Amino acid sequence: MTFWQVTLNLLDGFGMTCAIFALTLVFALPLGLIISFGSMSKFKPLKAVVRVFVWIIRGVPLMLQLFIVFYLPGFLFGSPIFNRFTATIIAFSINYACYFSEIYRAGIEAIPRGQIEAGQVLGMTRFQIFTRITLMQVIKRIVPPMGNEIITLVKDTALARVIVVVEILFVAEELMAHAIIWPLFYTAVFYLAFVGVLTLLFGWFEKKLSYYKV
Amino acid sequence: MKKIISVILAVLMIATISLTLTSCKKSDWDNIQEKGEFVCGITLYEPMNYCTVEGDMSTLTGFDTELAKMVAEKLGVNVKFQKIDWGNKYIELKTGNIDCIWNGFTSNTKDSDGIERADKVDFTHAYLDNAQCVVVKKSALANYTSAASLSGKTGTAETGSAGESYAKSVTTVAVVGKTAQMETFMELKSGSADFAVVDVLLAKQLVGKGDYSDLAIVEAINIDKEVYSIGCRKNSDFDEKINDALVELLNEGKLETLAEKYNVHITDTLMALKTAK
Repeated sequence: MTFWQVTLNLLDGFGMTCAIFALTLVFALPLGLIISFGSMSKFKPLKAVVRVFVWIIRGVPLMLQLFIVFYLPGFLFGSPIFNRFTATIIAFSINYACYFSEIYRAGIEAIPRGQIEAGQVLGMTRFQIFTRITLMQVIKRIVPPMGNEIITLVKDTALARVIVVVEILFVAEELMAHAIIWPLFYTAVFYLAFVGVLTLLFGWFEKKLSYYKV
Repeated sequence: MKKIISVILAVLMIATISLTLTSCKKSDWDNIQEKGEFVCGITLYEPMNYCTVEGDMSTLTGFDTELAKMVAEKLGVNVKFQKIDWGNKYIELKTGNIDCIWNGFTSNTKDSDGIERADKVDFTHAYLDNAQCVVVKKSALANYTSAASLSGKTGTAETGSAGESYAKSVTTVAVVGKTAQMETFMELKSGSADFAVVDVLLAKQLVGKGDYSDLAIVEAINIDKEVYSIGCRKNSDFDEKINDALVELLNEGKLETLAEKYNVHITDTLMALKTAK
Protein backbone atom coordinates (compact mmCIF):
# COMPACT_ATOMS: atom_id res chain seq x y z
CA MET A 1 0.00 0.00 0.00
CA THR A 2 1.23 3.44 -0.83
CA PHE A 3 1.65 6.27 1.65
CA TRP A 4 -1.28 8.03 0.05
CA GLN A 5 -3.62 5.02 0.38
CA VAL A 6 -2.67 4.58 4.02
CA THR A 7 -3.29 8.26 4.69
CA LEU A 8 -6.73 8.06 3.10
CA ASN A 9 -7.62 5.00 5.18
CA LEU A 10 -6.40 6.63 8.37
CA LEU A 11 -8.36 9.78 7.51
CA ASP A 12 -11.48 7.62 7.39
CA GLY A 13 -10.78 6.45 10.92
CA PHE A 14 -9.83 9.96 11.94
CA GLY A 15 -13.30 11.11 10.84
CA MET A 16 -14.75 8.74 13.43
CA THR A 17 -12.31 10.08 16.04
CA CYS A 18 -13.50 13.62 15.30
CA ALA A 19 -17.16 12.55 15.42
CA ILE A 20 -16.72 11.03 18.90
CA PHE A 21 -14.84 14.15 20.01
CA ALA A 22 -17.40 16.65 18.68
CA LEU A 23 -20.54 14.83 19.82
CA THR A 24 -19.10 14.23 23.28
CA LEU A 25 -18.47 17.96 23.66
CA VAL A 26 -21.96 18.83 22.37
CA PHE A 27 -23.58 16.68 25.06
CA ALA A 28 -21.05 16.89 27.88
CA LEU A 29 -20.64 20.70 28.02
CA PRO A 30 -24.29 21.48 28.93
CA LEU A 31 -24.76 18.26 30.91
CA GLY A 32 -21.74 19.19 33.02
CA LEU A 33 -23.37 22.51 33.92
CA ILE A 34 -26.55 20.74 35.08
CA ILE A 35 -24.49 18.31 37.18
CA SER A 36 -22.52 21.17 38.71
CA PHE A 37 -25.78 22.87 39.75
CA GLY A 38 -26.83 19.59 41.35
CA SER A 39 -23.61 19.25 43.28
CA MET A 40 -23.97 22.83 44.59
CA SER A 41 -27.69 22.49 45.38
CA LYS A 42 -28.98 23.64 48.76
CA PHE A 43 -31.36 20.65 48.72
CA LYS A 44 -29.20 18.14 50.62
CA PRO A 45 -30.52 14.81 49.20
CA LEU A 46 -30.07 16.01 45.61
CA LYS A 47 -26.58 17.22 46.39
CA ALA A 48 -25.69 13.88 47.97
CA VAL A 49 -27.04 11.86 45.03
CA VAL A 50 -25.20 14.00 42.47
CA ARG A 51 -21.93 13.85 44.39
CA VAL A 52 -22.14 10.06 44.70
CA PHE A 53 -22.85 9.86 40.96
CA VAL A 54 -19.81 12.01 40.18
CA TRP A 55 -17.73 9.85 42.50
CA ILE A 56 -18.81 6.66 40.69
CA ILE A 57 -18.25 8.05 37.20
CA ARG A 58 -14.87 9.53 38.06
CA GLY A 59 -13.92 6.45 40.03
CA VAL A 60 -14.52 3.83 37.35
CA PRO A 61 -12.27 3.53 34.27
CA LEU A 62 -13.84 4.94 31.11
CA MET A 63 -13.02 1.69 29.35
CA LEU A 64 -15.16 -0.22 31.83
CA GLN A 65 -17.96 2.31 31.41
CA LEU A 66 -17.90 1.63 27.68
CA PHE A 67 -18.28 -2.09 28.37
CA ILE A 68 -21.12 -1.43 30.82
CA VAL A 69 -23.11 0.84 28.51
CA PHE A 70 -22.65 -1.39 25.48
CA TYR A 71 -22.78 -4.93 26.87
CA LEU A 72 -24.87 -4.73 30.06
CA PRO A 73 -28.28 -4.23 28.35
CA GLY A 74 -27.58 -7.32 26.27
CA PHE A 75 -26.73 -9.35 29.37
CA LEU A 76 -29.88 -8.26 31.17
CA PHE A 77 -32.42 -8.37 28.35
CA GLY A 78 -30.81 -10.71 25.83
CA SER A 79 -30.69 -8.13 23.09
CA PRO A 80 -28.58 -4.98 22.74
CA ILE A 81 -30.20 -1.54 23.13
CA PHE A 82 -27.55 0.79 21.74
CA ASN A 83 -25.38 0.44 18.68
CA ARG A 84 -21.63 0.76 19.19
CA PHE A 85 -21.39 4.41 18.27
CA THR A 86 -24.35 5.49 20.40
CA ALA A 87 -22.99 3.57 23.38
CA THR A 88 -19.65 5.31 22.93
CA ILE A 89 -21.22 8.78 22.85
CA ILE A 90 -23.35 8.03 25.94
CA ALA A 91 -20.41 6.72 27.97
CA PHE A 92 -18.07 9.52 26.89
CA SER A 93 -20.66 12.28 27.44
CA ILE A 94 -21.55 11.17 30.97
CA ASN A 95 -17.91 10.64 31.90
CA TYR A 96 -16.73 13.98 30.59
CA ALA A 97 -19.78 15.85 31.95
CA CYS A 98 -18.74 14.75 35.46
CA TYR A 99 -15.20 16.07 35.02
CA PHE A 100 -16.53 19.29 33.47
CA SER A 101 -19.02 19.74 36.33
CA GLU A 102 -16.20 19.94 38.88
CA ILE A 103 -14.39 22.52 36.75
CA TYR A 104 -17.60 24.55 36.45
CA ARG A 105 -18.14 24.27 40.21
CA ALA A 106 -14.63 25.56 40.88
CA GLY A 107 -15.28 28.48 38.54
CA ILE A 108 -18.67 29.34 39.99
CA GLU A 109 -17.61 29.08 43.62
CA ALA A 110 -14.61 31.31 42.96
CA ILE A 111 -16.87 34.30 42.24
CA PRO A 112 -16.77 36.55 45.36
CA ARG A 113 -19.96 36.40 47.43
CA GLY A 114 -20.07 40.22 47.47
CA GLN A 115 -20.85 40.39 43.76
CA ILE A 116 -23.89 38.19 44.19
CA GLU A 117 -25.05 40.23 47.17
CA ALA A 118 -24.59 43.37 45.11
CA GLY A 119 -26.83 41.87 42.48
CA GLN A 120 -29.44 41.04 45.07
CA VAL A 121 -29.34 44.62 46.42
CA LEU A 122 -29.98 45.87 42.89
CA GLY A 123 -33.10 43.68 42.80
CA MET A 124 -31.84 41.15 40.23
CA THR A 125 -33.33 37.67 40.18
CA ARG A 126 -31.11 34.62 40.76
CA PHE A 127 -31.23 33.83 37.05
CA GLN A 128 -30.16 37.38 36.15
CA ILE A 129 -27.34 37.30 38.68
CA PHE A 130 -26.07 34.02 37.22
CA THR A 131 -26.25 35.00 33.55
CA ARG A 132 -25.16 38.64 33.88
CA ILE A 133 -22.63 38.57 36.68
CA THR A 134 -21.32 35.05 37.31
CA LEU A 135 -21.32 33.21 33.96
CA MET A 136 -19.05 35.45 31.90
CA GLN A 137 -16.43 35.53 34.65
CA VAL A 138 -16.67 31.76 35.05
CA ILE A 139 -16.05 31.14 31.35
CA LYS A 140 -12.92 33.25 31.51
CA ARG A 141 -11.53 31.44 34.53
CA ILE A 142 -12.17 27.90 33.38
CA VAL A 143 -10.58 28.11 29.94
CA PRO A 144 -7.20 26.64 30.98
CA PRO A 145 -8.56 23.63 32.94
CA MET A 146 -11.22 22.99 30.28
CA GLY A 147 -8.50 23.08 27.63
CA ASN A 148 -6.72 20.38 29.60
CA GLU A 149 -9.77 18.11 29.72
CA ILE A 150 -10.69 18.68 26.09
CA ILE A 151 -7.18 17.78 24.94
CA THR A 152 -7.39 14.62 27.06
CA LEU A 153 -10.67 13.83 25.31
CA VAL A 154 -8.96 13.84 21.91
CA LYS A 155 -6.73 11.00 23.01
CA ASP A 156 -9.37 9.16 25.06
CA THR A 157 -11.40 8.62 21.87
CA ALA A 158 -8.95 5.79 21.18
CA LEU A 159 -10.66 3.83 23.98
CA ALA A 160 -13.76 3.37 21.81
CA ARG A 161 -11.92 0.63 19.96
CA VAL A 162 -12.57 -1.78 22.86
CA ILE A 163 -16.18 -2.05 21.67
CA VAL A 164 -15.01 -2.04 18.05
CA VAL A 165 -15.78 1.51 17.01
CA VAL A 166 -13.55 1.89 13.98
CA GLU A 167 -11.51 4.95 14.90
CA ILE A 168 -8.03 5.81 13.68
CA LEU A 169 -6.05 3.40 15.90
CA PHE A 170 -8.35 0.54 15.00
CA VAL A 171 -7.81 1.27 11.30
CA ALA A 172 -4.04 1.37 11.81
CA GLU A 173 -4.12 -2.04 13.50
CA GLU A 174 -6.18 -3.49 10.68
CA LEU A 175 -3.62 -2.21 8.18
CA MET A 176 -1.16 -4.63 9.76
CA ALA A 177 -2.90 -7.32 7.70
CA HIS A 178 -1.03 -5.83 4.75
CA ALA A 179 2.32 -6.58 6.36
CA ILE A 180 2.91 -2.93 7.29
CA ILE A 181 3.43 -1.66 10.82
CA TRP A 182 4.39 1.98 10.35
CA PRO A 183 0.79 3.31 10.02
CA LEU A 184 0.35 2.59 13.72
CA PHE A 185 3.04 5.13 14.57
CA TYR A 186 1.95 7.46 11.79
CA THR A 187 -1.39 8.00 13.62
CA ALA A 188 0.52 10.16 16.12
CA VAL A 189 0.77 12.84 13.41
CA PHE A 190 -3.03 13.09 13.25
CA TYR A 191 -3.42 13.36 17.02
CA LEU A 192 -0.61 15.93 17.25
CA ALA A 193 -2.12 18.05 14.49
CA PHE A 194 -5.54 17.95 16.13
CA VAL A 195 -4.21 18.87 19.57
CA GLY A 196 -2.00 21.54 17.98
CA VAL A 197 -5.02 23.23 16.45
CA LEU A 198 -6.90 23.03 19.76
CA THR A 199 -3.96 24.51 21.66
CA LEU A 200 -3.82 27.49 19.28
CA LEU A 201 -7.59 27.88 19.56
CA PHE A 202 -7.52 27.95 23.36
CA GLY A 203 -4.60 30.40 23.33
CA TRP A 204 -6.53 32.72 21.04
CA PHE A 205 -9.69 32.37 23.12
CA GLU A 206 -7.86 33.14 26.37
CA LYS A 207 -6.33 36.24 24.80
CA LYS A 208 -9.74 37.38 23.62
CA LEU A 209 -11.11 37.05 27.12
CA SER A 210 -8.29 38.91 28.90
CA TYR A 211 -10.10 42.21 28.38
CA TYR A 212 -8.79 43.76 31.62
CA LYS A 213 -5.18 43.64 30.47
CA VAL A 214 -3.92 46.39 28.18
CA MET B 1 -48.75 11.05 47.24
CA LYS B 2 -45.23 9.70 47.43
CA LYS B 3 -46.58 6.28 48.36
CA ILE B 4 -48.82 6.23 45.31
CA ILE B 5 -45.91 7.16 43.05
CA SER B 6 -43.70 4.45 44.49
CA VAL B 7 -46.45 1.86 44.06
CA ILE B 8 -46.93 2.90 40.43
CA LEU B 9 -43.18 2.74 39.83
CA ALA B 10 -42.95 -0.72 41.39
CA VAL B 11 -45.78 -2.01 39.20
CA LEU B 12 -44.15 -0.54 36.10
CA MET B 13 -40.83 -2.17 37.00
CA ILE B 14 -42.38 -5.60 37.46
CA ALA B 15 -44.25 -5.17 34.19
CA THR B 16 -41.11 -4.33 32.22
CA ILE B 17 -39.12 -7.16 33.79
CA SER B 18 -41.79 -9.75 33.05
CA LEU B 19 -42.16 -8.39 29.52
CA THR B 20 -38.46 -8.72 28.82
CA LEU B 21 -38.38 -12.20 30.35
CA THR B 22 -41.18 -13.44 28.13
CA SER B 23 -39.58 -11.91 25.05
CA CYS B 24 -36.40 -13.85 25.84
CA LYS B 25 -38.17 -17.17 25.46
CA LYS B 26 -38.29 -16.94 21.67
CA SER B 27 -35.75 -19.16 19.98
CA ASP B 28 -32.75 -17.78 18.13
CA TRP B 29 -34.05 -18.92 14.78
CA ASP B 30 -37.41 -17.22 15.40
CA ASN B 31 -35.62 -13.99 16.20
CA ILE B 32 -33.45 -14.23 13.10
CA GLN B 33 -36.46 -14.85 10.89
CA GLU B 34 -38.23 -11.91 12.47
CA LYS B 35 -35.22 -9.63 11.89
CA GLY B 36 -34.74 -11.08 8.42
CA GLU B 37 -31.00 -11.30 9.01
CA PHE B 38 -28.32 -12.86 11.17
CA VAL B 39 -25.14 -11.16 12.30
CA CYS B 40 -21.74 -12.87 11.96
CA GLY B 41 -19.01 -11.76 14.35
CA ILE B 42 -15.75 -11.50 12.42
CA THR B 43 -12.25 -10.14 12.54
CA LEU B 44 -10.57 -9.24 9.27
CA TYR B 45 -7.97 -11.73 8.12
CA GLU B 46 -7.07 -13.47 4.92
CA PRO B 47 -8.28 -15.84 3.62
CA MET B 48 -11.40 -16.13 5.79
CA ASN B 49 -12.83 -12.59 5.91
CA TYR B 50 -11.02 -9.65 4.36
CA CYS B 51 -11.63 -6.52 2.29
CA THR B 52 -10.19 -6.28 -1.20
CA VAL B 53 -10.22 -2.49 -0.86
CA GLU B 54 -8.84 -1.67 2.56
CA GLY B 55 -11.34 0.00 4.89
CA ASP B 56 -14.27 -0.58 2.55
CA MET B 57 -16.56 -3.17 4.16
CA SER B 58 -18.63 -3.43 0.97
CA THR B 59 -15.66 -5.21 -0.63
CA LEU B 60 -15.60 -7.86 2.12
CA THR B 61 -14.83 -11.30 0.80
CA GLY B 62 -13.08 -14.53 1.79
CA PHE B 63 -13.95 -18.17 2.32
CA ASP B 64 -16.09 -17.61 5.41
CA THR B 65 -17.72 -14.49 3.93
CA GLU B 66 -18.79 -16.29 0.77
CA LEU B 67 -19.89 -19.37 2.69
CA ALA B 68 -21.99 -17.32 5.11
CA LYS B 69 -23.67 -15.59 2.17
CA MET B 70 -24.45 -18.97 0.58
CA VAL B 71 -25.90 -20.29 3.83
CA ALA B 72 -27.97 -17.13 4.26
CA GLU B 73 -29.37 -17.59 0.77
CA LYS B 74 -30.33 -21.19 1.60
CA LEU B 75 -32.02 -20.04 4.80
CA GLY B 76 -33.83 -17.19 3.05
CA VAL B 77 -32.47 -14.45 5.28
CA ASN B 78 -29.83 -11.75 4.93
CA VAL B 79 -26.41 -11.85 6.53
CA LYS B 80 -24.62 -8.96 8.19
CA PHE B 81 -20.94 -8.95 9.12
CA GLN B 82 -19.90 -7.22 12.32
CA LYS B 83 -16.27 -6.67 13.27
CA ILE B 84 -15.61 -7.75 16.83
CA ASP B 85 -12.74 -7.81 19.29
CA TRP B 86 -11.79 -11.51 19.31
CA GLY B 87 -11.17 -11.41 23.07
CA ASN B 88 -14.81 -10.32 23.61
CA LYS B 89 -16.41 -12.84 21.25
CA TYR B 90 -18.38 -14.70 23.94
CA ILE B 91 -19.72 -11.45 25.41
CA GLU B 92 -20.74 -10.25 21.94
CA LEU B 93 -22.56 -13.54 21.34
CA LYS B 94 -24.21 -13.72 24.74
CA THR B 95 -25.44 -10.13 24.65
CA GLY B 96 -27.02 -10.64 21.24
CA ASN B 97 -24.82 -8.21 19.35
CA ILE B 98 -23.94 -11.07 17.03
CA ASP B 99 -25.78 -14.32 16.28
CA CYS B 100 -22.78 -16.48 15.49
CA ILE B 101 -18.98 -16.47 15.53
CA TRP B 102 -18.00 -17.28 11.95
CA ASN B 103 -14.37 -16.44 11.49
CA GLY B 104 -12.09 -19.45 11.35
CA PHE B 105 -13.27 -20.40 14.83
CA THR B 106 -11.36 -23.44 16.12
CA SER B 107 -13.86 -25.74 17.81
CA ASN B 108 -11.86 -28.73 19.06
CA THR B 109 -9.81 -26.88 21.63
CA LYS B 110 -9.88 -25.49 25.13
CA ASP B 111 -9.68 -21.80 25.93
CA SER B 112 -6.82 -20.62 28.09
CA ASP B 113 -9.17 -20.88 31.11
CA GLY B 114 -9.15 -24.66 30.60
CA ILE B 115 -12.80 -24.87 29.55
CA GLU B 116 -13.70 -26.62 26.32
CA ARG B 117 -15.02 -24.18 23.75
CA ALA B 118 -17.81 -26.63 23.01
CA ASP B 119 -19.10 -26.02 26.55
CA LYS B 120 -19.38 -22.29 25.91
CA VAL B 121 -21.09 -22.22 22.53
CA ASP B 122 -23.13 -24.53 20.31
CA PHE B 123 -20.95 -25.57 17.40
CA THR B 124 -22.04 -26.55 13.92
CA HIS B 125 -20.33 -29.36 12.03
CA ALA B 126 -16.59 -28.85 11.69
CA TYR B 127 -16.21 -27.61 8.13
CA LEU B 128 -12.56 -26.74 7.60
CA ASP B 129 -9.14 -28.08 8.57
CA ASN B 130 -6.58 -25.76 10.11
CA ALA B 131 -3.51 -25.84 12.27
CA GLN B 132 -1.61 -23.42 14.45
CA CYS B 133 2.01 -22.73 13.71
CA VAL B 134 4.93 -21.15 15.51
CA VAL B 135 6.50 -18.00 14.06
CA VAL B 136 9.90 -16.66 15.15
CA LYS B 137 12.51 -14.20 13.95
CA LYS B 138 14.38 -15.55 10.97
CA SER B 139 17.72 -14.89 12.64
CA ALA B 140 16.78 -17.16 15.57
CA LEU B 141 15.15 -19.89 13.49
CA ALA B 142 17.98 -22.36 14.04
CA ASN B 143 17.35 -22.33 17.81
CA TYR B 144 13.90 -23.80 17.41
CA THR B 145 13.89 -27.45 16.53
CA SER B 146 11.08 -28.91 18.61
CA ALA B 147 8.25 -27.92 20.92
CA ALA B 148 10.63 -28.46 23.84
CA SER B 149 12.86 -25.62 22.60
CA LEU B 150 10.00 -23.19 23.24
CA SER B 151 10.06 -23.86 26.98
CA GLY B 152 11.51 -20.90 28.84
CA LYS B 153 10.82 -18.53 25.97
CA THR B 154 8.29 -15.71 26.00
CA GLY B 155 5.33 -16.49 23.79
CA THR B 156 2.65 -14.30 22.30
CA ALA B 157 -0.73 -15.03 20.76
CA GLU B 158 -4.13 -13.51 20.27
CA THR B 159 -6.07 -13.36 23.53
CA GLY B 160 -8.70 -16.09 23.63
CA SER B 161 -7.26 -17.90 20.60
CA ALA B 162 -6.34 -21.54 20.24
CA GLY B 163 -2.77 -20.35 19.76
CA GLU B 164 -2.76 -18.79 23.21
CA SER B 165 -3.78 -22.08 24.81
CA TYR B 166 -0.96 -23.84 22.97
CA ALA B 167 1.62 -21.19 23.88
CA LYS B 168 0.66 -21.49 27.54
CA SER B 169 1.05 -25.25 27.42
CA VAL B 170 4.59 -25.25 26.02
CA THR B 171 6.31 -22.43 27.87
CA THR B 172 6.80 -21.82 31.54
CA VAL B 173 7.29 -18.07 31.08
CA ALA B 174 4.70 -15.42 30.36
CA VAL B 175 2.50 -15.47 27.29
CA VAL B 176 1.64 -12.02 25.99
CA GLY B 177 -1.98 -11.85 24.88
CA LYS B 178 -2.77 -9.45 22.06
CA THR B 179 -6.13 -8.27 20.69
CA ALA B 180 -5.35 -9.34 17.12
CA GLN B 181 -3.20 -12.06 15.58
CA MET B 182 -1.31 -9.48 13.54
CA GLU B 183 -0.18 -7.65 16.64
CA THR B 184 1.76 -10.69 17.80
CA PHE B 185 4.20 -10.10 14.93
CA MET B 186 4.98 -6.66 16.33
CA GLU B 187 5.88 -8.27 19.67
CA LEU B 188 8.27 -10.55 17.77
CA LYS B 189 9.86 -7.75 15.80
CA SER B 190 10.35 -5.54 18.83
CA GLY B 191 11.94 -8.45 20.69
CA SER B 192 9.40 -8.41 23.54
CA ALA B 193 8.38 -11.95 22.68
CA ASP B 194 10.41 -14.86 21.28
CA PHE B 195 7.73 -16.80 19.46
CA ALA B 196 4.17 -16.27 18.26
CA VAL B 197 1.48 -18.89 17.75
CA VAL B 198 -0.99 -18.05 14.98
CA ASP B 199 -3.21 -19.78 12.41
CA VAL B 200 -1.17 -21.39 9.68
CA LEU B 201 -3.56 -19.93 7.06
CA LEU B 202 -2.76 -16.42 8.27
CA ALA B 203 0.97 -17.05 8.73
CA LYS B 204 1.37 -18.34 5.17
CA GLN B 205 -0.32 -15.18 3.93
CA LEU B 206 1.92 -12.73 5.78
CA VAL B 207 5.18 -14.17 7.09
CA GLY B 208 8.16 -13.28 4.92
CA LYS B 209 6.37 -10.37 3.26
CA GLY B 210 6.70 -6.60 3.67
CA ASP B 211 7.52 -5.59 7.23
CA TYR B 212 7.38 -9.26 8.22
CA SER B 213 10.20 -10.34 5.91
CA ASP B 214 12.48 -10.99 8.91
CA LEU B 215 10.05 -13.55 10.36
CA ALA B 216 9.79 -17.25 9.61
CA ILE B 217 7.47 -20.18 10.29
CA VAL B 218 9.07 -22.96 12.35
CA GLU B 219 8.37 -25.97 10.13
CA ALA B 220 9.99 -28.32 12.63
CA ILE B 221 7.21 -27.82 15.17
CA ASN B 222 3.93 -29.49 14.33
CA ILE B 223 0.87 -28.66 16.35
CA ASP B 224 -2.13 -30.98 16.39
CA LYS B 225 -4.63 -30.50 13.64
CA GLU B 226 -7.57 -28.29 14.35
CA VAL B 227 -10.96 -27.82 12.81
CA TYR B 228 -13.09 -24.76 12.28
CA SER B 229 -16.77 -24.61 13.16
CA ILE B 230 -19.35 -21.88 13.42
CA GLY B 231 -20.23 -20.97 16.99
CA CYS B 232 -23.82 -20.16 17.98
CA ARG B 233 -25.32 -19.23 21.33
CA LYS B 234 -25.62 -22.04 23.85
CA ASN B 235 -28.91 -23.94 23.48
CA SER B 236 -29.58 -22.17 20.21
CA ASP B 237 -31.46 -23.81 17.35
CA PHE B 238 -29.57 -21.75 14.78
CA ASP B 239 -26.62 -24.17 14.53
CA GLU B 240 -28.92 -26.93 13.24
CA LYS B 241 -30.20 -24.60 10.53
CA ILE B 242 -26.63 -23.82 9.45
CA ASN B 243 -25.79 -27.54 9.50
CA ASP B 244 -28.67 -28.35 7.16
CA ALA B 245 -27.59 -25.58 4.80
CA LEU B 246 -23.95 -26.75 4.88
CA VAL B 247 -24.90 -30.31 3.94
CA GLU B 248 -27.13 -29.02 1.17
CA LEU B 249 -24.29 -26.89 -0.22
CA LEU B 250 -22.00 -29.91 0.04
CA ASN B 251 -24.38 -32.08 -1.93
CA GLU B 252 -24.65 -29.42 -4.60
CA GLY B 253 -20.85 -29.37 -4.87
CA LYS B 254 -20.71 -25.64 -4.11
CA LEU B 255 -18.73 -26.08 -0.92
CA GLU B 256 -15.92 -27.94 -2.66
CA THR B 257 -15.72 -25.36 -5.43
CA LEU B 258 -15.39 -22.63 -2.83
CA ALA B 259 -12.69 -24.52 -0.92
CA GLU B 260 -10.70 -24.94 -4.13
CA LYS B 261 -10.97 -21.22 -4.84
CA TYR B 262 -9.39 -20.31 -1.51
CA ASN B 263 -7.04 -23.30 -1.39
CA VAL B 264 -8.41 -24.61 1.92
CA HIS B 265 -9.38 -28.13 2.94
CA ILE B 266 -12.86 -29.30 3.97
CA THR B 267 -12.88 -31.69 6.93
CA ASP B 268 -13.27 -35.42 6.32
CA THR B 269 -16.09 -35.54 8.86
CA LEU B 270 -18.14 -33.09 6.81
CA MET B 271 -17.29 -34.84 3.54
CA ALA B 272 -18.62 -38.06 5.08
CA LEU B 273 -22.06 -36.45 5.34
CA LYS B 274 -22.25 -36.07 1.60
CA THR B 275 -25.03 -38.26 0.29
CA ALA B 276 -24.11 -39.76 -3.04
CA LYS B 277 -26.62 -39.03 -5.74
